[in-house]
Amino acid sequence: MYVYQLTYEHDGNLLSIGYFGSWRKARDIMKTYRSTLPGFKDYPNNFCIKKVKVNKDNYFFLN
Amino acid sequence: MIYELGFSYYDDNPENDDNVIIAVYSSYKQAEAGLKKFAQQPRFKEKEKFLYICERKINEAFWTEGFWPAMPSYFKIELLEGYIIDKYEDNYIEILDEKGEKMYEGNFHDYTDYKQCICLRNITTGWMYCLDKQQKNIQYKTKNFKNLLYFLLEKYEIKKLGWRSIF
Repeated sequence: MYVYQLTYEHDGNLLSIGYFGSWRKARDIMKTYRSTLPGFKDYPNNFCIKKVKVNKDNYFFLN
Repeated sequence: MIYELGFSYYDDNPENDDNVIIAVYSSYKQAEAGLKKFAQQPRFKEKEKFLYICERKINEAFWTEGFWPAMPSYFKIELLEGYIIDKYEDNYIEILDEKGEKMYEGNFHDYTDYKQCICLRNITTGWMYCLDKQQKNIQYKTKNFKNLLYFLLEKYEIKKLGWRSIF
């Protein structure tokens, strides 16, 4: 099972906004946030949508 | 429902901040097993309490508010002639001269900036000060507004004094 993880990074802080069943849904939420919510509106390019496999441990960041 | 395993470390030094989302699991039990496994990794060892598991509903945003990024104006006020007020907690401020060297410090609520001097006021004690930019020290101290105004007029030919809030 895959989910689409929507995150936002600002000044070294990582916000986990949510997990979505489709890329389109994640993108819609991202668009809403970057056009309406303070902070996100000011820095609209810090979003990341990532397709992640549930129950799969990633080790890429451990080095 | 899914379970996010993450790591969010911070201490007194912001350079040590470390945030990462490690994985997502379909059950809390699997997330717990993941947490135990990752707690042994060098990056997370001795910092296990900063690992977290968070329950998330799919297709529902978890973070629903905006945020207010820290702006320089929250921490400093740029004054005339290159002087700066650095703002800290509990009304504590430091005044830096044009070279960036600390000239004065204390607890103040209001200020007024002129080319020749800076006036400061502590509302709690009622004391008002005049800090000369050239002399780099307090030239006058009073609790009486009229006396301060008279001093400013005599010494600097300043006729108006209006307080601005520091915080």
